[in-house]
Amino acid sequence: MLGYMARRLVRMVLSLVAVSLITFVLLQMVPGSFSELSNAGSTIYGDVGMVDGGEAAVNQGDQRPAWQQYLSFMKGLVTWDMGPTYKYPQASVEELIGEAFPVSLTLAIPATLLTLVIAIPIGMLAAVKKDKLADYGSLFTLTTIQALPGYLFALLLVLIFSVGLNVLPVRGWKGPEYMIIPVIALAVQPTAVLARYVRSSMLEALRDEYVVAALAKGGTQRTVLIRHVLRNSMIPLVTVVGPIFAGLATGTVFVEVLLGIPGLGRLFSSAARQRDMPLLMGATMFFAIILMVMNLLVDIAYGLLDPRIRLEQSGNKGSRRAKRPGQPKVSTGMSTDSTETVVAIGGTRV
Amino acid sequence: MNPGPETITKGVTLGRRSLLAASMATAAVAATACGFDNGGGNGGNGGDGGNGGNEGGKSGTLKQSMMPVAFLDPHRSGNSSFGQIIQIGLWEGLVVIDVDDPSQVVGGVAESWDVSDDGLTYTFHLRDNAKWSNGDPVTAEDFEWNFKRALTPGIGGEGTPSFPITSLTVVGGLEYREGATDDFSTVGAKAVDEKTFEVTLEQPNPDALIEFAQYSCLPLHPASTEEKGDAWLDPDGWVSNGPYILDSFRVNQGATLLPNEEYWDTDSYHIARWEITFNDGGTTADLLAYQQGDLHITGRIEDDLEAVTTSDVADELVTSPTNQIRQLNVMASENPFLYDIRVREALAISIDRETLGDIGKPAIAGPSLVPNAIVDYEKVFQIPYDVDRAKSLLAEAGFPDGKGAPTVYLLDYMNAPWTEALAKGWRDNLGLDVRYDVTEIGVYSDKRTQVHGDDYCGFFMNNVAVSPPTMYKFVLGKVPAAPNYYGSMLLPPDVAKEMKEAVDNQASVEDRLKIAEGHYDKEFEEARDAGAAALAIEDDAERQAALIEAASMFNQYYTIIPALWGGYNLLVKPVVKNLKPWMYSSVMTTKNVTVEE
Repeated sequence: MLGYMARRLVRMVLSLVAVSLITFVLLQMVPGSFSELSNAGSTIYGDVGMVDGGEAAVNQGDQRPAWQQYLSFMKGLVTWDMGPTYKYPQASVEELIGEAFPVSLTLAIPATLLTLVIAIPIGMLAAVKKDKLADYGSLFTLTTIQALPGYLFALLLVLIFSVGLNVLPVRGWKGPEYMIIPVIALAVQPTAVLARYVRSSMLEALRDEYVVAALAKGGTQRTVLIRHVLRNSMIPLVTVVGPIFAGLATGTVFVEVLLGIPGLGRLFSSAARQRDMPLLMGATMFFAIILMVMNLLVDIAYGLLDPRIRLEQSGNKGSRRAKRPGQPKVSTGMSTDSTETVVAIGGTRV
Repeated sequence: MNPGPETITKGVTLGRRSLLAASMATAAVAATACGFDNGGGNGGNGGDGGNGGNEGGKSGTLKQSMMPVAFLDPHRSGNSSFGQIIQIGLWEGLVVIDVDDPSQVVGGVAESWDVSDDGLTYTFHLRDNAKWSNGDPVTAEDFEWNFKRALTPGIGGEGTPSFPITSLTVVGGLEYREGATDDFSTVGAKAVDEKTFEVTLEQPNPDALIEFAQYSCLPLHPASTEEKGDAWLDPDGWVSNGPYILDSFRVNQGATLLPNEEYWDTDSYHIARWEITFNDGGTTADLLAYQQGDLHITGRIEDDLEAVTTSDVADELVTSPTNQIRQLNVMASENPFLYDIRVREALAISIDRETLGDIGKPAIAGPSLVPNAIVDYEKVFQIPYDVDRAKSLLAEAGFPDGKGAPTVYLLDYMNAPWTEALAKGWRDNLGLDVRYDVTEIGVYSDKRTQVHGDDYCGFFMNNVAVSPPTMYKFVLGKVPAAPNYYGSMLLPPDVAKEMKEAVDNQASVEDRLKIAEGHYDKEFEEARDAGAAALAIEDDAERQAALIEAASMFNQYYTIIPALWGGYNLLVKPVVKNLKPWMYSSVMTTKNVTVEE
């Protein structure tokens, strides 16, 4: 296990270097720099420039050669002292991320819990009532919801609960009541995804021989469902829940911007709009770290939850891709190693 | 060695519990560390986080939304108007803008001042009751320390220092800022005694007092700034000399300001608490919050003013006198079409600005580059609306009814209905093929400075402010130290390419002057020379007349064509009394403002 962890950590570091390089190169190719955009003028006052001459704001940082900017950033990343951003010269990159991350986390945790609480029963119901009205009804609803972007749902909630009923605030981040609309809006799409996943996973498990055996031994349907089917179906869900949580914890741009939530998504979108390179690079690397750590945790959790995976991890160095006998290789569309783990488990494409 | 079944079972059980425990712990930590911006402040400045109370004769909480403010250091350039609103709340300079007549200043820390006969020396007499929020007296030495800080090389960090050294030409200031000397005694900013501060300029400037009232001349508290170093912005232990102190400030969230009871004129400020929310989410979100009563004031409405002017709160929109111009700037191109002044004039005089003003409300028709906040603006040449003459000029230039003319592009990064109307007007009036090229802002900023090929010519749209809005500042801005190659300084394409390379490589001003030598149009050079001569005139009336003449010459060169004039726009709830936005980039003051709750 230790060797496996060490290998994963080395791969994580290499991946991070690759992410930093690719991100930096791509950002260099994007037209416009912070200084140019600052001087572009704007009808959003405050960004207006002087007429022709005058002392236009120029940032020396983005005038340096690209390789110097990159080395300077990487040095800052390694020492976790990335210095001031272009836009916010009195705040360091790590301070801004440090302030924004807990906010996104505060939304991500309840949104993920809400997702689990709603998606699992709906998925179970749809699986048990396969090809019945409840199944078709829930599938139709879930598909519709899945097609609805979170920010649109947020706007809908604002119109109903803030503008119409006047029971919730429109936007801001001043207390727990400001969490309600964003948490619901953020949970909607993952709920639809997860519920469909639970349904498929349970249908898969219901076809397994041990279910027939358990029923034949006299187990009640309820007991078999909860103790055996659900339990086994839950293991692949870790793969889905991990990235869902990581995605929410690293901020959701539209909902955060729309509802005035000072989280990572809003910080990132603002940095991107203004070509604030230090903040953009810092935020991207932070996202990458969070996603990689979540994937690592998911894989470790697999090892803890399913002995077969742990055996594979410690005993099969040459081939880390273990295949469950009789299961085809499938893709979930999830990133990096978790996809491999899903394949090992035999997850089903939803 | 593979673990045995018992180990595995144990591992599974512990793993689940551990995961659950970890999740709960994370949830608990997140719940306590969620960082709600509830105005709790730093706990060090007496913020109660409540609704304002009625302490010290003050009452009401003013709730305002604005674009995120990047920083608060007044000696650094690049801040937004919204940042300046906060800055002039926290600090007070030697003089301040007069609320009743914003074209004038009144005493701030300085109770009175003398100006020498040659207009070069300003002697400020500081009032005895001017204090910092910790009770320290504000002294002339404090101002000398601040002028030194503002002119210190590198004070802008990686950015640009804010001190307007090209207009407020303090003797020796430029040399000190550029590191030619490190002896501040050579700079004309001195504390004569504890209560007398003297500034000497290299050349007279009729706007000097207005410049002294701007954010770049605000003073920080020397002792606490030096003691706290980079952490001087921390609200804990905050010291400032303006009507408010900083209770909290989060760059991505907002700020809370509380009254400074040590402020000498605190009786003119009636608000008990000023809560500011930063919003980068656009007009829709702020408009909804404003309509719901969550906000008293919002200035975050500029990207969709149409939504505001057509909403049920349209009559709560207040606008300052106009100090901004929505204008068209010629881009350098290998296509010669726009290098012909007759074509440019034809385009300029075929714009129906009154109609554009109706479409672009609350902006108004802008017939010149000098907006109406500037004294004597009406004396500057006003571009007429004369379609017949425009057609005749176009025909004279070889393009009758637009025949043979290339496509004219209007480059922008925001879709504005009035620009579409402008394009339609040129199509209808002149028979030109006009396309509105709306693109992403980064592409826009890149594209507007390119020297385009034969297949692309036109104008880039932008919005500029004359700040402070005076005739002197307008002309000063038009007579730049360093030459460029587009806009009013349009250069022929081959020279423009050379100049672009020089600009991109940060060539010296001398090198750029050499490249431009003899390549500017005579109309531009005449206007520029007239402007430079006007700026140097000492007599006030004579100078003003010459400035108006120079401004008129720039107006008739038509490489920059004005379309609309705009001011600063705020939505203000009726419960907020006595608030009038002014034409400076600091937009507003809360002096005399009350909130009736």
